Order: sequence, then C-alpha cells, then structure tokens
Amino acid sequence: MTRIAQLSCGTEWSGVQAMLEKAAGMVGAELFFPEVDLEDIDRAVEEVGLEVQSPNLRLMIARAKALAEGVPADAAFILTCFRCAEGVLAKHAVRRYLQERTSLPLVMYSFTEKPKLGELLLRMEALVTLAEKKTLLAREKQEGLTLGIDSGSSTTKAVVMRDNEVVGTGWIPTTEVVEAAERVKREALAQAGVKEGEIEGVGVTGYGRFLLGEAMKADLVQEELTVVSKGTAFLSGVQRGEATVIDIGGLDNKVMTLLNGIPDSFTMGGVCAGSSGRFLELAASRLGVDVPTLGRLALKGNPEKVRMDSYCAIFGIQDLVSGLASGSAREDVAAAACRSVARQVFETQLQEIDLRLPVIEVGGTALVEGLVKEMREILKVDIRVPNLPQFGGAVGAALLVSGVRG
Amino acid sequence: MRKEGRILVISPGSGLTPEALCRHLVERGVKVGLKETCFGLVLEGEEEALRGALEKARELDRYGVFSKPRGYPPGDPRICRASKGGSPRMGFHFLDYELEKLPLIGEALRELEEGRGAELKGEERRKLPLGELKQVLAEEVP
Amino acid sequence: MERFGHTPLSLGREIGERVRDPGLDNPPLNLTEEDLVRGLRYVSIEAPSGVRGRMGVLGPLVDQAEAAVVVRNTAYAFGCSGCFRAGLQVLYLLRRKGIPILEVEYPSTREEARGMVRRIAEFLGGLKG
Repeated sequence: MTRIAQLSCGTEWSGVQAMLEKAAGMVGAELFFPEVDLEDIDRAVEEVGLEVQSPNLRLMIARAKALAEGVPADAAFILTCFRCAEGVLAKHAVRRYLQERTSLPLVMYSFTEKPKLGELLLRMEALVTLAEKKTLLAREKQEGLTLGIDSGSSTTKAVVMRDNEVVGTGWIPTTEVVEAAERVKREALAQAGVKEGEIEGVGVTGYGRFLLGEAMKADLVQEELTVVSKGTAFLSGVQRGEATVIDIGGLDNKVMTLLNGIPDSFTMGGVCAGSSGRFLELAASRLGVDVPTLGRLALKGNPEKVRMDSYCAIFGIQDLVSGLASGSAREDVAAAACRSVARQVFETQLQEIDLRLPVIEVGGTALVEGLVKEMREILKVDIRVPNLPQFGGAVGAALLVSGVRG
Repeated sequence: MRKEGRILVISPGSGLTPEALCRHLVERGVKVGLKETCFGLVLEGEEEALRGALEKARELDRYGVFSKPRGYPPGDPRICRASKGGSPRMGFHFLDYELEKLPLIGEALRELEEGRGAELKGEERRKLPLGELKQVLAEEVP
Repeated sequence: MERFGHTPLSLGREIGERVRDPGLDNPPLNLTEEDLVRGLRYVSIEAPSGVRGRMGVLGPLVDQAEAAVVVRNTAYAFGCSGCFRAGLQVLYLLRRKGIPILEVEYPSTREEARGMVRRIAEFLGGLKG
C-alpha cells in the first residue's frame, strides 16, 4: 500500500474528498493527513516564508513541514481549488520546500467541484509509479543493448540503444498496435545492425503499452508521463534541475514540469483536436502537402494575414479554407495553422502549470518548425528541440528498461 | 426530534476533570450521550436535553465550562483520527487555539458578573498621518 | 451568546444536519452539488469551488442573522471552514445587511480579554431591548 500524504485546502468544501479517496483506493494507495500540533503551524509558515492568511493553507504548510521532518510517507499530493490565487502560491511554495528537503515524489493538482475521475486516477497512478519505481527513475544512463517502443495514438516509434547511444530508430503511423510495433522494431534493429536475440531488454509505453507489453513480453510497461520525461531529459541533456516539457502529440498533448528528470506536475489535453497534431494534418492535407512541409512553409508566412475565429478542428479548418479561397498565400495559411495549435495549447494546457526554464518541446510535432516558432512567440522564451524529438517516449523506455533487464 | 452534538470544553484554568464532569452529569440524570475527551466531553442528544446538560455542567464551575455545537456524532469514522491515518478532525486546531484563551475569558466573565473590573478604555489604534511620519523621519535620519 | 440569552448561529449545527442525514453520502462533510449551487446566491461563479461550497453553507447563516459579533485576527478561528476569502465574504454580507455588528479583536492579554468580554456583554445586553 502506497501511503500518499494529502496536502490540500478546500477538498472537503468542494465536495471532492470522497472522490480523491476513491481514486487512491483504485490504484492501491491510501491518502492520509500528516499530523501537526497547533504550535507547529505558525512556525512552519514562518519557515516556509509565505504568509498566507487562510487557516487551511497554513495547516497545509505545517503538514508539509511535518513531512520534511520525517513523518513517514511514500509520496505527497498537493492540491488546492482551481482559480484560488492564495492556493496557487501556497501550492508552489510547499512544492519547492519539499523538493529542497526531501526526495518524496510529488504531484500537484488544481481541482474544481467536478474533477474527472480519470484525471485523478492518472495523477494517483503517476504518484504510485514515482514512489514504487523511485530507484529506477533515478537512472540517467542507458546500459547494454535495449529496445524501447512508444505506441502512440497516431504514430508508433521504436529505438535501439547501445551503451547510452541511440543506434537505430523506426517511426510509422499506428495501424494495428502490435503489427505497427513489429514493423518499427524491425526497422530499428536493421538500422542498428542488431539481431532481435541480442536485445537485452524491451520497454514499452504509450496508449498501446498493455497490449504490446503482453505481445512482446516486455520487461517494462510504463505510462508515458514519466517515460517521456526521462527520455526528454536524456535527449536534451537536462538531467538535473528544472525544466518544462511540451509534447504535442497526434491526438492529445502533455505538458510536464520536471525536477531532475522526474515530473512533479502535468496536464494532459485530449478532448480537443485543435490542440493536437491532428489539426496540422488536416491543414496540411488541405494545402496538399505533408506536415513537415507545412511547418517549413509556415516559416515564410504571416499568420496575421489569415482571419481565424476558432481553434476548432472543424471551424478553424473552415477559416483556413476560406482564407485559401479568398486568395491567401499558402505560406500564410500554414503559419496561421501553426499559430492556432500553439495558441490552443497555450490557452488550455499552459494555464494550469508553472513554466520552468528551459522549455523543451518533444513529440513528432516538435519537428514542425512553424509550430515551434509560434510556441516561442507566444511564450516569449527560447524553446529547445533536442535531436530525435519524436523518440522521447521510445528513448525513455529503452533507458529505463536497461535498469530492470535480466 | 433530531439529535445534535455539543462539545463541552473545560478551561485549562479549572480544576475540573472530564471524568468528574461526566460523573456529575450522570448523577444529575441528564438524558444525553456522553463521551470523555482530552478537553472535556462530547455530548449527543436532543436540543432541550443538551441545554439542560449544559446548565448542570455549569453548576460545577460557572466560569470554567464552555460549550459549542459540534457537527459530527462522537466517534464518527468519517473524521476519526484512527481511520484517517492519524490527523485530527477539521476544526480541532481551532478548538485548541480557543482553549488557550478560556482562562482569560472565564476570569473576565466572573468580574463582569460580580460588577468588578476597570471601565473600558475607548482608545483606538489609528495609522500615523503621513505628515507626522515625515517629521519622525526628519528627526531620526538627519 | 448563550450566557447572555441569545442563540448562536452555528456552522457546527449546519454540518451536523448534513452528516446525520442518512440519505447523503459524500464524506466527510456530505456537501452536495446543491450546496455549491446555493453558494452562487452569495458569491460569483468565478470564485473557486471551495469558496462557493463554504458560502453555500455559511450564506444561509448570514441570512438568518439578526446581529453579529465579529472577532478579528483569529488565525485559526472560523472553525472547519478555514478559508480567509470566504471569511471576507461573510463579513461583507453581514455589513451589507445593516444589522447591528460588533467587531472586536481576538485577545492576547488579560486586559484585552476583559475588554472583549465587556464589549460583547454590553452589545448583547443592548440587543435585548
């Protein structure tokens, strides 16, 4: 049983406490409140240094101090009401305080009165993974000869790694999960000049991970939040310190904040095609080009020249088509498509997260130059794109599995 | 009639113990559920019976027993320390905080009822006008 | 309040009604969607869910209030509600009602405690007539 310390304000009064406990139970975890005495509270607030006024937030800070002083816990879940300014400040102060003093895995969350059970489960599952696989996740170096496969919703990726280097890759659109994985595996093995029998460990991640895990007798089957984080930290050489990872996928997108390559907060989109690679695919097909070409075209265009009233994959695309029909340049339409996706990711995902530098973009869409340029312009920060950004998940899986092989 | 909960808190300044208070109420035949706690008693019963119990409790120490309504029934697992992994119920720290001041409040009540004590001072704190602050600055930092 | 013959409006009693209702099951407070919707009568939907939930329970107490004693600077007071912003809103609504309100400081010293008790006693005594 994983014991998760709950550091929160407002869960009871938003009516979500019972749901939190249910979600914890579903992933084999238990929530508890660290005990504190009255006289500890003021001292804790003073030590942390953020003079919040709400008694519950002061109590939350004191509970964090109790954890730092050794109250036994496997992980901490830090959560406050969505839209509460005082809560946001307290949440991040507590996060920093704990990260500076403990190695406890932690995850933050802002809730409304109707959180989705799936969102809570994802976070609880990540906390349990972070707690149970702490030693494995600390791994920064790949050893031996391993294979990592990322079975995504729109593409399947594989890498072969040998002694901390990527020596073979494969990348194709996902059709049937296992079949696509077999094909990318063969591609990656051929490129690496390696026979399947020589592989010492197989790690799988992504949507199709459970199916693949069985079919390929994988040594590691793990959700993509931690795996992509590790892979990105490896590819970009940011294994230590803070970072933000933006992964705009084919059908959804993820944003994660990292400390030492391990995520402590994340948001996942997935209900809007307008904030995913799918929008770019639709726009590209209207222009009669492939997505990478759309990205290059966009660099030469001016998005301001095309009027877009919607980020929606239906209505937004309609705007682009109208633009083309009224004589807009293809470059401008391509740029407008990239700006639309970047803005939608910004408005839906990045509002819920604290942006920590450096910002690193991965996923297949990180190769779409026009999109990265638009993200840079919106965020007003440099965005790093590592080599092989589309293989973040596969590299993470190959790296981590080298710690469990044999 | 609907049941209600009450907390009886014994002021740290009182010589009364929860056990003695409980025994007294039982002897006086109150018709409420009683549970001893570290700070006094938790009562549960109908409104009228609770009021009666409170009056009888004050017979023992008029300025040492305080009370307030409590939401949960005694030993409710939803907020029980044992079932919540060790942390006290919501509002516990508030009670702890209030407890510290009860001797002062009790003493003030006694003086008031006995017609003793100094008159109220009407003095109020106000912010220093800017002009005066400037003057102080000029004096202190020549 | 009771010592001076008045009835306190109590959050504990409100919670008591909810947690003793066998028809409700959303521990620990048994707060319902209805409570959050009721909160909208007292605070804008822009406010965080925790503030709306608290106001859904505290708001009706403000409605019933015929007078109020406000104790200021109580770091841990406000019972299990615990949100400073909800506290601000309650005070605002009380002031808007135009009912008699006494505001006192939470005491630190014997002298202050004496002052607080006397002010409250005087205030409560004045309400009788």
